[in-house]
Amino acid sequence: MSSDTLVSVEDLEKHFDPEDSFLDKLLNLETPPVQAVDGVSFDIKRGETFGLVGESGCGKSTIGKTILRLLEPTGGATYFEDENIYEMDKSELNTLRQDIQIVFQDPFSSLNPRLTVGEIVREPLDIHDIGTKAERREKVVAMLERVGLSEDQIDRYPREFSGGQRQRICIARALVLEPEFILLDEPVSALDVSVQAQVLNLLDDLQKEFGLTYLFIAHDLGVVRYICDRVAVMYLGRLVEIGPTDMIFDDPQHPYTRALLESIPRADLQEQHRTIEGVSGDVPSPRNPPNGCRFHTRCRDVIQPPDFEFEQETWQNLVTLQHRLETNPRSLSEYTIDEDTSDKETIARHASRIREVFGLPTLNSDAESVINKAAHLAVQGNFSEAHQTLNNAFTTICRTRDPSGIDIGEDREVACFLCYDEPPSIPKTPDASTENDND
Amino acid sequence: MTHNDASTTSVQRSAGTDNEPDFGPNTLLKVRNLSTRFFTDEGQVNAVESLDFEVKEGEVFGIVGESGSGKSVTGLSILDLIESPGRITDGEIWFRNRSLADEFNEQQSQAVRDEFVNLLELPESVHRSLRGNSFSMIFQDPMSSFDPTSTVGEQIAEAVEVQQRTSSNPRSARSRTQGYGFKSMVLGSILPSKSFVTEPSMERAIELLELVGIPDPKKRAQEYPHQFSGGMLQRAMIAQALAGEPDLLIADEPTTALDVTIQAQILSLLSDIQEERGMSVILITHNLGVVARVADRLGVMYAGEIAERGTLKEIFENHTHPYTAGLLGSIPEIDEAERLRPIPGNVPSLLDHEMGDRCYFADRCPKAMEECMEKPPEYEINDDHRVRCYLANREFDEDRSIRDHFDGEGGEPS
Repeated sequence: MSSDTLVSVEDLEKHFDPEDSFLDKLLNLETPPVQAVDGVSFDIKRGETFGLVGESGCGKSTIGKTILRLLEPTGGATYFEDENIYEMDKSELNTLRQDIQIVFQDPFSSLNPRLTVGEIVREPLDIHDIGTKAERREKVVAMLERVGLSEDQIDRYPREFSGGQRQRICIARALVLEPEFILLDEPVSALDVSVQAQVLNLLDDLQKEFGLTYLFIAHDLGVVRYICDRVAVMYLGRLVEIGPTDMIFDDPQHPYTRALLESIPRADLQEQHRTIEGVSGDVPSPRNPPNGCRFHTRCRDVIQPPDFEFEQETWQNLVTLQHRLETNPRSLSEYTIDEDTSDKETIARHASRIREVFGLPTLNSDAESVINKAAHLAVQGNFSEAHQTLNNAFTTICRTRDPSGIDIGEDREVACFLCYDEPPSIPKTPDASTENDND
Repeated sequence: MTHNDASTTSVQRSAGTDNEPDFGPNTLLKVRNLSTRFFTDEGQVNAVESLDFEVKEGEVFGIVGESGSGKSVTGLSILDLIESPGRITDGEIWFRNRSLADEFNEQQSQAVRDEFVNLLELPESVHRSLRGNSFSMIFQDPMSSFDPTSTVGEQIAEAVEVQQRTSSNPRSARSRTQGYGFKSMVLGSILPSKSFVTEPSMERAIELLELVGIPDPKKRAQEYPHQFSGGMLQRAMIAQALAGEPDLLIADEPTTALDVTIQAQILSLLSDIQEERGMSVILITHNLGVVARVADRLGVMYAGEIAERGTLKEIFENHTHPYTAGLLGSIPEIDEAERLRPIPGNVPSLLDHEMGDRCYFADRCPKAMEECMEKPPEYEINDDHRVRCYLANREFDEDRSIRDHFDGEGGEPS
């Protein structure tokens, strides 16, 4: 680890495993854990603002809370100045908490309504027993003034302040211990744009003044571009791309990052003429994430199997069908027919309906017979065999192997096979997908 | 920032003060001098004040502003969904509807002009029967806008049924669940087969779900709202709003609760449907990017007033009002990263006794002058552009600045 690294996260994993109830145990029902964070590694350098972006439910906030040890991880380590914070005992942790602080998203629920502003900001000093009473008050006043509030507001209650002012109070509370590292968990997303800009500028100024290191969690990419030095993009519990902010925004490499940036509406007159190549469908469940690259089920550029040549759209639709057959075959039950129906014509009619719904036209290649066979099997309710048929014939590297982050130079890492100089070969057995691929 | 060189433009006070409304050939809705007030314990809140705007046929009209600027109350006022302690205290809402105009021409001629009727002077029952058929609304949070205890299909089918009954008998707009009480609950549990929706309307609901791009509509119609994702539920709500084939759709922050990738999907769905059906949309949002994506014209709201309105091009490139400039200057753009120029201060209180009789933006305005202590009228810069600011017909004069007057009064220390 280089000396300018302040926080280092290694292979962090946080799975939420629901406690099985008595009934679950009795019936031997096991709910798979929610894989909120699954093997994430990154370093935060001293004095930088490191951004973590992604859609809701991708695990951003879980990472933040686990790094501060507000949640215990299920695997991996976080080093703060070369010390693993998950191995610290209570008193060490207590000391550590003076150096790491947090600002939460909602300034309305993160301030105790029964304490005055002065008491709220003084509380960290009381807990860590710093200074005399007079010194504490002096510190509190100085900090309040620094964030843009005045001394005569010290005895007021949080409800007397607007959203932006409350977020200033939260920032003052986080800063009063003079920490080195602050976790900003969506600090401006609850604020109006005009006030949001004030708070962003304040954060920027404070960082320069106190030499702070920020971990900035946000879903608003405009804000991230504005304030962050480096950015990591998350999808479904994993990092897909990490690198300097300007490069990520100007030249995104991962198809997910590209789609995310495309989707943002710009406040610009040319906006209505811009075509968006966004993402279709919804985010899969983190309880049962796709094998291989987690984004491949929605990816526009999902890699085709070597022996076939499809239209990219057809191939993408085929991947969607495969994923459905694997994870949620019951949703296809509306196309099935009764088991005892042996009328070939009915079967064929239903099979072509499935193909129509999933956008799979008749093809002039070897693939045709396979798809047709799978569609017939699915119509007869034999989903697992249909899935096997497709799987055996069409294997894509994106599903069978897990792309590990690859260094593409200029301090950037991308977890996508498209960025590999030479994609690793497809393993023979589909089970190999669980193994990590480290080259 | 390109300011319109106001001194060379012929600027006149807009014709909002005379009594006769003039309608353009393709006007669908014209709101004149609308005021909505809330009478609370803390005092009178002027949520919407002397609002003027019009929506043309087949266009998307955007209303942007920060929270508390009166955007949603405007939408609710048009639908007459303002509840106590709120009340529409003044104004006219003219809506193009030929059959109603013919019907009321004799009884209430003051409520009728040509093909237009003044919604605020129609009887409550008539206004109610227009909801869904003539205009409907999409709300911000799909999760809380659906009833968690019945299936999505049932809820859409119910809307379909109400619309059908209304079109066969325009004066009735009752659903079968209306008046649902203890008796119905007991009956419903004894006779579980008692259904509130009919087969055909359920079929129509499934068609609507398919129209808004929900896969497996037949199956999804039988699911409950919690089984839908946020984006899917927002689609379902759009389906419900389309049930009555409305002429005007009011979308109140339709994408705010959604992720950007889903937001892009919903916005393109909305504009496809709007183009296909040629309906008009009032899009209420705080996100200028969303407005830029779908709107044809827009109004910028501040403290219950429309500060500036016009075509997208006029507002984005030729804005006159310093608030519009401030709003555009405080969005962090993803294409560039320069220091933001925030508007100092906070969104004002709308309590009547705290508002004063001046330009409401003066205390935050970098170009406030002496005349701003008096309320500015709405100036017409050209046919497509109106603004409530004195800068429309004069240049900013440093000597007349009153910035110092406001410093220390909620202003932001630099």
